[in-house]
Amino acid sequence: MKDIYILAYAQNPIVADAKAANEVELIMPVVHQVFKQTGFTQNDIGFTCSGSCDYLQGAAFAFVEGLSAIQTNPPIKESHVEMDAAWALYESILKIQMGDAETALIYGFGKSSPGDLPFVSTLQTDPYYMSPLWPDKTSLAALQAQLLMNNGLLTKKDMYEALTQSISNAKNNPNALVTAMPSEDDYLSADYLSSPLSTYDCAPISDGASAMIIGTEEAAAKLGLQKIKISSVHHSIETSNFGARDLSTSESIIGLGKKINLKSFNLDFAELHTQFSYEIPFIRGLLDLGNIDINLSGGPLAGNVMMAAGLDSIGKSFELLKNSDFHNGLAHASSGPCLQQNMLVHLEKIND
Amino acid sequence: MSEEKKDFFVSDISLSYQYTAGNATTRFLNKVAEGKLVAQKCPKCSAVYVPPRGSCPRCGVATEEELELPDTGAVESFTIVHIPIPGNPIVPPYVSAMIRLDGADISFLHLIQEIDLADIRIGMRVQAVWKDKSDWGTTLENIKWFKPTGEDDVDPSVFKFKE
Amino acid sequence: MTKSVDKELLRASFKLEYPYERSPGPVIGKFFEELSNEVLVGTKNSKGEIFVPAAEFDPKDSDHLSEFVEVKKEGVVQSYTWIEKPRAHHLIKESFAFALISMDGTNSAMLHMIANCKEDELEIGKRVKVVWNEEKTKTIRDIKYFEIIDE
Repeated sequence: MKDIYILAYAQNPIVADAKAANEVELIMPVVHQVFKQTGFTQNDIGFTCSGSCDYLQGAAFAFVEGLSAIQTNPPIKESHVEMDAAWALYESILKIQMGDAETALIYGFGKSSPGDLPFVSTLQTDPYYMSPLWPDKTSLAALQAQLLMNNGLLTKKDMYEALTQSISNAKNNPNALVTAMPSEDDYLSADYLSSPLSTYDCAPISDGASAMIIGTEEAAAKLGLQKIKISSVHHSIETSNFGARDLSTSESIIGLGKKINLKSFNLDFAELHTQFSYEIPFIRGLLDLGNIDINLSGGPLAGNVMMAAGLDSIGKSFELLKNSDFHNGLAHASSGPCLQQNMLVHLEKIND
Repeated sequence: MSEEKKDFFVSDISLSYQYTAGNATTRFLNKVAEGKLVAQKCPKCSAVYVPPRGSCPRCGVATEEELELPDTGAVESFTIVHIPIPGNPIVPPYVSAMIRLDGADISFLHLIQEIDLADIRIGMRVQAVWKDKSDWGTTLENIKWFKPTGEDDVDPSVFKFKE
Repeated sequence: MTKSVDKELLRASFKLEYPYERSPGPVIGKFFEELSNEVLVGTKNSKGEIFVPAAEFDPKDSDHLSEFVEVKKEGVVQSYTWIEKPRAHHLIKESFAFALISMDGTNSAMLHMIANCKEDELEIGKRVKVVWNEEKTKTIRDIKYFEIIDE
C-alpha cells in the first residue's frame, strides 16, 4: 500500500443562498486555491473526481456542467460520485493505490438553496415503502433522536451543549455560516419542527464548494510542505431497510472505529459530519471519544454544504493538524438517513 | 395501460425549485433582453463563448472579458426534425441547427425557418429574426429563428476549434 | 415559468417531476395486493423472523424471502416524531407523527404515520392499529395512517 498525503484543501465561504452563482462559479475559486497552495496546474493532476447531487439544485447533469470549472484540454482522467465528495476522495485514493495516478484533485459542491432540501432528501429513501409517505430528512433524524432520548442515551441539554460548542468553535472558521448563539431559554423554548428537533438542531441550508489535492509520498516530498498522511480510511453502509436497523446504535460507526484502530493512537480531535445536534453526543458515545474536542471548525451545524461537508470534515482535520501541535485527527463523513452510511479517516502529522 | 403493466404504480416525485441562471448567464440574458448578443472571451486561449457560462471549459479559468457579437453567423450542423416532440409547439418538419455566430468559437442550437428544407446545408450564412421588441425578455426566445442571408457559404474549415 | 423582477438575479421557478411507472415485483407486489384487501402480510426467514412491510431480502444475511405470513393489524410504536405544523409534501395536513411501528409478532418496524391523537397521548411503546384508506391504490398509502388503540 502506498502512503497517501493531503497536499491542499480549500473551502468557499459558506452562504445560505449563493444567489446567481452556478456550479462552475462555485467550484472554480476553490480549485484555483488548491492549485495555488501546491503550485500545481491541472497538468500535474493524475485523476480528478467530484461529488455532487443533481437533485439539490434540480438541474439534471449539473455535475457535467461543473466540469467546465476544470481545465479539460488535453482531456483528463475524471470521475464523479452522486455522493458526498468524501467518497470522491475514497475513489481517488483507490486510483492512486492502483498505480494509475500520483496525485488527485477532489472537489464537492452543493447548492441546496433552489430546492426544499429536507424533501429533496426524501428521494434517497425506499421508493416503495417510504418515499410515497414523504418523510423529510429532519423527521427521519428525529425518529432516531427520540429513540435515544427514550433510552436515556440523550438529553436536550446534551444537544444544546453540542450546538453551542459548535457555534463557539465556528469562530475559528472564517468560512462558517452560523455564528449567532441561542440562549438556553431560546433553545429549549423553540418550537419543534419534528419533535424533539427544532431548527436549532438542524444544520443550516447552505451553498458552497470545497476542493482538495492528495498525492503519493513522492508528490508530497516534492512540495516540501508539512506532511499530513491519510493513515487509515474505511467506510460501510447499513441496510436501506430502515425499520430493520437498530437506530439506538450504529453498527457501521462502531465497526469503522475498530477498523481504523481508533484505540491504537492518541487522538487529539474529531471532525464529525453531524448534520443534527444529537449526532455529536451520539457518535461521541459510539466511538468512546471521552472529552476529545469535536468539530473545532464548527462542523456542519455552522455550515453544511451538501456533498462537500463530509470532505470538509477531512479538510478541516488536515488544516488543524497543519496549523497546531496536534498529531492525530479523526474525520467522519456520512450519508443517508440516520447515519446509514459512514466513513472514518485517521489523519496523522508526520514529522521527518 | 397494457395488461402486463397492471401492477405498476406511478411514483409522484414532484419537487419545486427556484433555479438561478448563473452570474455569467444572467449577464448574458440581461443583454439579450436589450437585443444584444454578448460573448465572453477566455484570457488564456482567447476562445469566444456565446452563450457564455462564465468559464473556459478547456482552460478551467473564468471568462470575464465581454464582447458584443453580431446576430449573423453560419450553420455548423443541422438536423431536420420529422417527429413531434411532446410539449414542443413547433410543427414538424423543421430545422434545428447549430449556429456559429460571427466571431464566436462555439455554436448554439436554434431554429432555421424561412427556408426550403432541401436548401439547408452546412456553411450556409444566416441571420437572427427577432421578435417584436415589445415582447423581449431575458431569454434567447427573443430570437424567433434564424433565416438565410443569401450570402456565399463559408468554408466549413472555419468551424475547427482554434488551438 | 415566472421571472424574478430583480434584473440582477434571474430566478425561474419550476417543478421537477419523475412520473416513473414502478414495478413492485412479486414480494412487494404481493404486500400491496394484500393491503388493497385490507390484509397485512410479512415475509418470514428461516429463523422464523417476520418482516413487515414484506422484505424481499433478509436485511441481515440477504437471503431471498418468499414465505408470506399474515400478521395482526396492530403494533407497537418503536419511535415517533411529532409534527405540529406539517410541511410542504406531508400527506396529513393536521398535526401528526411519523413513526416506526413494529407490527405484533414481527422483527422489524414499518415507517408510517400516526394521526387522530394529541402529542402527549403518544409515547414509545404505545399500541396502535391500522386505519385504511377507502380508496385503494395498491401502494403503501392504502394504509391511511395508524391510530392509538384505546385501552
